[in-house]
Amino acid sequence: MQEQLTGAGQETLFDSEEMVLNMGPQHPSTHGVLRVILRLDGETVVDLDCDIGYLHRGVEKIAESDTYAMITPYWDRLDYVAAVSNDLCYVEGVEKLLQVEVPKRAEYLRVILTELQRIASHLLWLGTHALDIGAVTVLLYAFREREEILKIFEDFIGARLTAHAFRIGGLWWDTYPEFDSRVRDFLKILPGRIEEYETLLNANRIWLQRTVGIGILPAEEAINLSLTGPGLRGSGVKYDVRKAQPYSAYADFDFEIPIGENGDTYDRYLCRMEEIKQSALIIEQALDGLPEGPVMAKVPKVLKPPAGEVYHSIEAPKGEIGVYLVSDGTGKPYRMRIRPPSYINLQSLKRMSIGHLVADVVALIGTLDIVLGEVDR
Amino acid sequence: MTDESNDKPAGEDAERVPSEQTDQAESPSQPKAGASAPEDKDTAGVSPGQGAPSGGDSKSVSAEAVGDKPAPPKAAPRADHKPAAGEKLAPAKKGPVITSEIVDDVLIDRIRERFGDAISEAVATLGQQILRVKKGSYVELCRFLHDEDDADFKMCIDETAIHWPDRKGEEFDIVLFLYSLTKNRRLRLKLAVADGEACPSVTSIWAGANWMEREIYDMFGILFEGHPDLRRILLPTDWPGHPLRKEYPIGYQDNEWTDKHLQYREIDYDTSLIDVKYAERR
Repeated sequence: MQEQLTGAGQETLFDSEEMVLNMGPQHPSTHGVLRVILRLDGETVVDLDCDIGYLHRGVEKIAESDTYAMITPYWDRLDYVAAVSNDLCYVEGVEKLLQVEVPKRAEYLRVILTELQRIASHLLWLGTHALDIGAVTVLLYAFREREEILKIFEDFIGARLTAHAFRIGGLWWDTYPEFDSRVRDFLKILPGRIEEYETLLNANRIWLQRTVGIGILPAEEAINLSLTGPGLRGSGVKYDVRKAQPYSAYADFDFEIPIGENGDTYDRYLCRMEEIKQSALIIEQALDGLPEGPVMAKVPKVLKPPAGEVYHSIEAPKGEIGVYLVSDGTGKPYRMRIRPPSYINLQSLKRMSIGHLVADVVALIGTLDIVLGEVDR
Repeated sequence: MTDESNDKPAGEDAERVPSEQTDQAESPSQPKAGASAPEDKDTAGVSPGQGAPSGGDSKSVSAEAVGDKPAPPKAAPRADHKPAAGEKLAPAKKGPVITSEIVDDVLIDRIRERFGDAISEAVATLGQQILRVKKGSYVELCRFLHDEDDADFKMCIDETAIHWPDRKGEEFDIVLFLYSLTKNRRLRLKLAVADGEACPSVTSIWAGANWMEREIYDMFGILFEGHPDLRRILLPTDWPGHPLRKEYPIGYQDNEWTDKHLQYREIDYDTSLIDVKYAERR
């Protein structure tokens, strides 16, 4: 490997000696407490190892001593910039096990909130990713729009970040009177704002130099590395759980799955931008077709799913988040496994980084869009 | 999350708690939980009468250590503990999720034909297909599922484990979640592994299983044969025990590691020392 990178057969003027460099755990570009140990040849990455676990709370162990309803808030804190999406995964998993049918209105509201959360998560990703690479302005713009979504969440759910939106069986609250108009107002301003980001970035020479051709991941390798989410779609694989195995009310809506061609950092950026637009379309359709009715199914106060097991997964902003529940008929799960997209996607960092410069590692951590709360659980 | 020793009848307590703690300290030695099983069985029968007010909490903890009898995979140890727990709970008890044998599935029939007895179970539950495979044919089956065009399971979505301390000789289930992009179908493989026994690794087939298997090793202490880089991943390298095993307690904090590592220490800022260390490393 090293001969390849240093250029086998080429005359080198100086001795190429390797050095070991620590990035993190307190590094601003690692988005949390990720420690990356790099083996460098000059500025080129020869090998890489991720040291994770600084935020490990043992959620899977805690779940074994909590009732099903008590576990939901822990899910908010996994991927804490997309709390609503995480909740949806868990709540639907338990509903599947209980074989509870959720009212149509609740499903539509869930779709609206989850897609709003996807936009918020992608905006946060865009801002921080651009900031890592050096474009500070985008962060300020992206946070301006994210704030609007958080305000909608705050008035609906009562929290901005760890929004405990869903309950097993539906939603706790119905919408408030201005909900519809506020979401529509946001959707009206969004396309213009996305144009602003694209004006700043799409033809920006520095942005292109830092992203085009960086961290190319061919489709087969991405699949083999279990990559999901925009990372996989950037490599040209059309896999989105919303389309492949529709959950909630996603079968009712028309939307496209954007895919990239080259599988580089720039394509993954384009995919996420297009996903924001598609999410806005879904929200609009859901608002138009929002049915009347109750938002909560009849669910017993004490939840005791029958003995058995279930796997349920949804398309979170980061990729496929899944829950595997093994019930033994009591009020607490015998085993709960979280399939964390960030954790599994982070594996590809090694494959993507080797051969690139240290500065590109920063861009690649950004493009994977990891949240350490979910990596470490 | 309360300390388990508080909400249990005294008789049960005295026997179990010591056995749990020793298990946790030297976790790979599973047989201990099994050794204490016969005594526990007697007391467990008595406990509901005495400890009725303590309710659900005590049960959930005790069931982990109580080794009643080898339970089938669907009916977990806590499930057969429950009927004894009192008549009040009886109405809430439901049957298990309907699980039926897979019939009329071309791929599953092909697998059955090819692997014969190695497939000990092929069931569908809640519309999800599960194959239970014997250890000898595990990697071969994985290779078949990955390479064969009819199956085409190119993606390993997840891999995890479940601990069943009461199933002697096959204490762990390794669960593998596969997904086929072209056929848009999921399949779950299960493999029973005894405590202390190594499980074959599938990293040579799906590179993405690397960190999943590392996590299983970290959390359950299951070794993987043929894994390129089997180290702990979430916990520190010298952490005692494997937390997701059922005998690992959640009610009390183990201070062994923190006492060793998270102490106040003077740091020597002598620059010459740093140079020496740097030279040593090179």
